[in-house]
Amino acid sequence: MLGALASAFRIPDLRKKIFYTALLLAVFRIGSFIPVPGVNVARLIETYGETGLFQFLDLFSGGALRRFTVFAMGVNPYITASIILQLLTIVIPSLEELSKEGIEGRRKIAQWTRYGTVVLGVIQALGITMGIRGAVEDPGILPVLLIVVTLTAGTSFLMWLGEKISEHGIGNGISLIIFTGIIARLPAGVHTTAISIGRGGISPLNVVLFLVLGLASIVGVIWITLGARRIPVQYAKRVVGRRVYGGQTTHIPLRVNQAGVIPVIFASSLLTFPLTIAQFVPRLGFLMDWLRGDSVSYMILYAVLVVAFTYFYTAITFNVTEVANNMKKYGGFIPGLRPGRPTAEYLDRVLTRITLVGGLFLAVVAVLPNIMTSLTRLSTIYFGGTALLIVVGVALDTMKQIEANLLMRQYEGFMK
Amino acid sequence: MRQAFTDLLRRPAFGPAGDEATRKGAVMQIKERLGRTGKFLREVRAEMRKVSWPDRKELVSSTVVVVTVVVVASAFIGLIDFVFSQGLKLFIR
Repeated sequence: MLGALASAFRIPDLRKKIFYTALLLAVFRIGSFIPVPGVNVARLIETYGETGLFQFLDLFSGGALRRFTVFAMGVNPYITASIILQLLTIVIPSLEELSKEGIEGRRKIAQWTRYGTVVLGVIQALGITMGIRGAVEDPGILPVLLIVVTLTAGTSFLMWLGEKISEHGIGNGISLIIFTGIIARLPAGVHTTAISIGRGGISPLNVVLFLVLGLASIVGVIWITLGARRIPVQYAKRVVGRRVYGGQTTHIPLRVNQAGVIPVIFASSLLTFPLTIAQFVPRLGFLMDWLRGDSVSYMILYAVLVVAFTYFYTAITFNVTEVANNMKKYGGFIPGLRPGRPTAEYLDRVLTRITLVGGLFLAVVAVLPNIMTSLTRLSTIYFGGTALLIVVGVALDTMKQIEANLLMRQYEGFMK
Repeated sequence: MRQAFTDLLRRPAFGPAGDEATRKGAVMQIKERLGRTGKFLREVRAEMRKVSWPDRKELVSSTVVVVTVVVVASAFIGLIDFVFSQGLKLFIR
């Protein structure tokens, strides 16, 4: 199975794509070590290192916030900007038209997303700088401006890296950057845990329990991800000249979790935004307590958002009308249903129903492991549900893309 | 589903929800809503029965692939991080 993965390296084109991706991700890591000028990192960790917000934001930047480097904000503003733009495409009719206009329209929306990223980046950078003002060496206007500009530029550069990976590399660039940020903490986590076991701080039994639970959750996530409702599609026979085409039966898979990891990324990153706003407005200080990572109100809101985004993202990415129309164009139909509108309605109906389970599953996995961590008392590796879902989801997605590339070239896949 | 989102987002936040709401009593409305939710949940169960899940072989191979990828990737990133953190010490203080 894994041998087939090796065959991916034997295809020059695919090999190039994989190396390109690895190279750009390495560039991302370099930036995660270059500190922002004017911030006292020692004082930063001393004063703020233990707060929940800080640790939560740090999860997405792969330690870049802890060291206050140029990528301290990660791709957060970009994600928020794309959520806002996607919501707007639904609300504003003229934007909806634009999104349907094909490549040109989508390019325009992508461009607006980039502008939005810069605007949101400045806001969030201001928020973060306000939040850590105790660690800023010179609170004058110019030094603060320097920090804000540096952070915003870092995020804009990350956005560019992500787009380059999506374009010329393999997988979704932005997801891969988040993925890399999360797994970057793994080696250090393993190291600290190993030391702790050596000193007798953590019993080996707890580690085994943790590993078993972790593996079980990985299998669970994969299980749901691969679950699909297969809708049979029959293609009519067509006679063109002396040949007969079609006539075969296939199926369209409607996945239980059609949206993948995006809802989790969306929800968690959207929740950081009110917290940054709360830094400016003292009256909103209650938000800090409300949205602390371990509070009940946070978990409930988070779970609700995950389910909502699962529906939202499925609705955006899986256009039932388009699928039904394409089927009709090539003479396909679902047995027992008329092509066109009834087919689209049927697909929508099924999708709406199975997505509920997919969304609830994501929400449960995202929230539950916080309890698991407190059960095993292993906090050195922060393996929250959010991190787990993103890591497994992105790894699976990326492998699927490599596999699709292989299959295109008639090699045997490695995930059967 | 997309249409549902559009309707939801474009609907005015305040004001009468429609003629139906004014005609029927509150109790009737709640009863109807609950009935619809129950029906929806039953349909969810019916659809979930028809979902095909991965078999053991597929599940195991996917898990192996995912775990391998994560281990290899984190080793790669760890190595890079180590080199950079050492290298940057030469430049920064």
